[in-house]
Amino acid sequence: MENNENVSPQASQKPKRKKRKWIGVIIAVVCVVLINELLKFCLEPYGSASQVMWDDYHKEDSIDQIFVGSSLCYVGISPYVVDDIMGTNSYNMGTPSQYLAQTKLAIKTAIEDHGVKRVVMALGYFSLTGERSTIAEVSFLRAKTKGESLLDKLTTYANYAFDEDIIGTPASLNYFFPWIYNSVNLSEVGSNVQAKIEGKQATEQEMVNNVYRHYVGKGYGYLSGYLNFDDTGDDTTYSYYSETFSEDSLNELREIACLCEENDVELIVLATPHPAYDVLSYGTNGDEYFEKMLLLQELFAEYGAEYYDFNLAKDELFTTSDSYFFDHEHMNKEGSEAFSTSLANFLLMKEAGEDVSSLFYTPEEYLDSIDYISTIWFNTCTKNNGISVTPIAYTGTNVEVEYQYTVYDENTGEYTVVQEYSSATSCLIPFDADGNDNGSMKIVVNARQVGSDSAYEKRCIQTICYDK
Amino acid sequence: MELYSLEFAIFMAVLLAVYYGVEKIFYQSKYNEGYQWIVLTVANMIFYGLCGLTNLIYIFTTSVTTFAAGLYMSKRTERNALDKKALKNDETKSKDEIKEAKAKLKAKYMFDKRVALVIVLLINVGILAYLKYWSTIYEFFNGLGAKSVVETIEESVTETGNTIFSASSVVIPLGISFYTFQSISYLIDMYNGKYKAENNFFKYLNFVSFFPQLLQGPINRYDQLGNQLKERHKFDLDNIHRGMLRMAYGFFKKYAIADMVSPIIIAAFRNIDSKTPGCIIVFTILLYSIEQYCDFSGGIDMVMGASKMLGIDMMENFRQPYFSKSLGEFWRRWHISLGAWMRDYIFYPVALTKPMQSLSKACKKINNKALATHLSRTLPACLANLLVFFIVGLWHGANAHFLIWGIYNGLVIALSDLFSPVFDKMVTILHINRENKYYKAFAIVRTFIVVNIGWYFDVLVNPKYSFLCLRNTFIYFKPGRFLRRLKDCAVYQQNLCLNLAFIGCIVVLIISILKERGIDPTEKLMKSPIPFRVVLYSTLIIMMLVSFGLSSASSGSFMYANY
Repeated sequence: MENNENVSPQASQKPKRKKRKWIGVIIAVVCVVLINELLKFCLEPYGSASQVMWDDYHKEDSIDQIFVGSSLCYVGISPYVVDDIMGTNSYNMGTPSQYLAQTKLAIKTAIEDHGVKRVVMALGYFSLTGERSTIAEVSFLRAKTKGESLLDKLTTYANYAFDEDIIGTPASLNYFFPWIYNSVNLSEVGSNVQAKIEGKQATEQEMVNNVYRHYVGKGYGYLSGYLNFDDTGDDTTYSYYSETFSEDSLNELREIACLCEENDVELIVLATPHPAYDVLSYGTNGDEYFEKMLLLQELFAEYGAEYYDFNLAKDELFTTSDSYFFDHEHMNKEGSEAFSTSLANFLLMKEAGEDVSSLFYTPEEYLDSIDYISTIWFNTCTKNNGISVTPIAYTGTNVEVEYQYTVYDENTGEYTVVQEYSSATSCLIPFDADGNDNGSMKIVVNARQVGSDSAYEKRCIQTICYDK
Repeated sequence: MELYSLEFAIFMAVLLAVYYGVEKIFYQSKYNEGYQWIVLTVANMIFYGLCGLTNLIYIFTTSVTTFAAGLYMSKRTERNALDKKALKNDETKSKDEIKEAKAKLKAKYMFDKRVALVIVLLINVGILAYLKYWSTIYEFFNGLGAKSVVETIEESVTETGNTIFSASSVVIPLGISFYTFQSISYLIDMYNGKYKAENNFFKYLNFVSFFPQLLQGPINRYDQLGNQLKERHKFDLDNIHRGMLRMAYGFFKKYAIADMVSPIIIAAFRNIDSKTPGCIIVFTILLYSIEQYCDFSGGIDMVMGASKMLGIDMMENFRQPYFSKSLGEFWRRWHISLGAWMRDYIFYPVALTKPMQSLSKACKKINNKALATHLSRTLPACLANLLVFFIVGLWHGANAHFLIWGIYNGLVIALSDLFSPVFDKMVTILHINRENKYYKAFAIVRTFIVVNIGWYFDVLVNPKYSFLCLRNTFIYFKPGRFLRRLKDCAVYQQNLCLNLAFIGCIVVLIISILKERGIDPTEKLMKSPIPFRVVLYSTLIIMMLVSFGLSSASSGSFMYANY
């Protein structure tokens, strides 16, 4: 008591003030955590592709072979079709924008859980540019660790966050705020919350949520719709990912090959079919594409793995068709079923010890085999007296193309030919060519092979807005 | 390493624990200054090393040379004082002889110091110039067809086998402009005998490499920062609180505002031609104003906050610049540390040179007395200002658009000084009260417009397009085309980005107004009720987090990081 009397009132206030400050800090932290949990619950989609894949994966009793990779794999390989032909039990572990480190994690998990003996990896060149998708990575890892122990969750986070590409970036912290990257639209919050409260299966939610993507099961979902060859644009893999392969990505591939080799797992890496123009757009007549293909073949060969490019498959293995594609890189339902059939037969042939390498063209043979116009696209430039149009056609080496330049009048529904078929690779279209001069014009460039009498083999339609 | 990252969070947490832990352990006065400065120096090296080991070579070169020269110059100053004292006590010499001997001594010591100054300046400015400007010089000569000249230099350099010094592999070391300028200020202060040199190299290294300033400044002074770095700093929750708030405000400005508008600016200026309407140009320039301010001042807030957590206050770099009433004032409120550096180490030395003094004297000979007085006072300052802004332009990059931007700023300031009597006369004739709030508002808007005209040359790399945009702004505005042109930018979630940035700007505006009125918003906030703070913090944090999901400027790098 005596001591207390000697303490000044100000001094006794100090610890109180300090205590209040700490309480304030704790309240603030607790509030942020609670709000974050609330936002996670409301905004994080219940049925993401990754969640569906992992949820259904955990339901499988035994798996013989897995398919891994990005969306090319997810929508490209149907385990049902493959299993019908091969008599196996396969599972598709592909997820959109799956990063190679996550592909490796999926393989490792499948080896540990089911002792799978074959891994089929669908590899797109874009996966090798080193570009990472935080949304895809975080979704994949969070879906994988759902239901795991806190320690496992923290280990997964640490493995991700301490990656040298991640640790110095906001993504290393934003892992705890997954709703930032992966959230439902505000209009869907209600149904998302309801689904979570009702404990709906992620699979069910996934089926409801997507217009184009239709989940079937075993990790596989197909895309409905067809690539519009009248408007392919310059939408090609090369236009987005023309960079050389990153050394980090190649090292990831080596590690995947090593993992399979060490566990005596057969690794088959393949390129899924794309429209021919997507291949041809790489450099000049696809020369850069073939260089990269060779590099991958050599890399995997070092580990006893094989790389096959189904774009170069001969007709006896796989016959491509324009109707197989959803866009420049993904197949639709028709395409994925045809490809899965071809893949199953290919795997059976391999199992039987047949020489499968003869089923693929060399680059030169491939270019010769394209005896059609894959697509046509045109660039425009506004000049003083009209719009200059320069078309680009993607074809094999032996195809000669001629172009017809027309405009379409939306009001009358009539086409006006501005320049008849000829080999001219540019044309100036006057502003009033369609009879109007209203700041926009629908231009149609038709293309066909020289000597053909068809109206067009491929065409490109674009509406161009112009300021005079 | 970004400041909003796990790496920096770990770095800062470990640093704070060790930094304050060391102080707690060695609290007794027998340990003199304590050992916190050692912790800080090691942390600086680790931080710099984490950002690239080659960076260390450059910062060591700068530190060693400027430290040695500073010490040498300080010793010469001391020696000069001792010799002067000895002369004073010399009874064998007459007053005139002593005066003459003193002058000789001064000249001798100043010569020694000048030699050291020039050599070390050449080394450091040379390194900076080489790293910043070599590729531009290379391209310039290539453009002139004199390829062989540069190739010969390049080959002779690369033959040494040291590829760091070849132009093709030049990567500008982190913060080189900032620490070079900072070291030069120390060096010149030593030359002028402003204060005593630092005797401990590692303490000096701590000053040069203090990690918060390395990202994008401010350019600190030794007499302000150096002593703080050597002092003891007791753990103070208030400092941590203030520091974290300031960092969070910086994150908010950078991520929720600057990064939201950045992709729209890029998209809007992607295809400029004579048909690009002025309305979209003006809008984009306004966005650029916002981006520039929030990116740069946001970054400064972050590093100030980090520094504050260590109990260290660096030089303020921004003081609500968009409330300036003249361009000159703008430059005293924007990038203050660079402006102050330029004033002290370029402007005054140039304005006080003999040719400038002669010019001033020549002006005084003009018949009109008022004009003579005005010109003799302002003309040398105008010329010095032009030089300063030319250097500021060059500092931003050896590109024509930066130089034009620099000269534009210099010219506006010079001309407004020169014609100030005319303006004063007009104000008198028109009976304008400069203290009137409407006039002040007008002056703020006028300055904002003048600053924004300058941004045309800053944001666009090709001056041809800057002039084209200026032309379209005035004679091809076409407001009817605004919405379509904006839509054409086609940036991911563009409207949401703009809305978020807009709300963010309102927050920044409110805080700026409070600061302008002399209110400390941090203090106010810290004293506000906890529920209010929780709501406010949560809202701002959520806004910032949402911006990550929208941002395509994923690199997170700062506009001023490469200076």
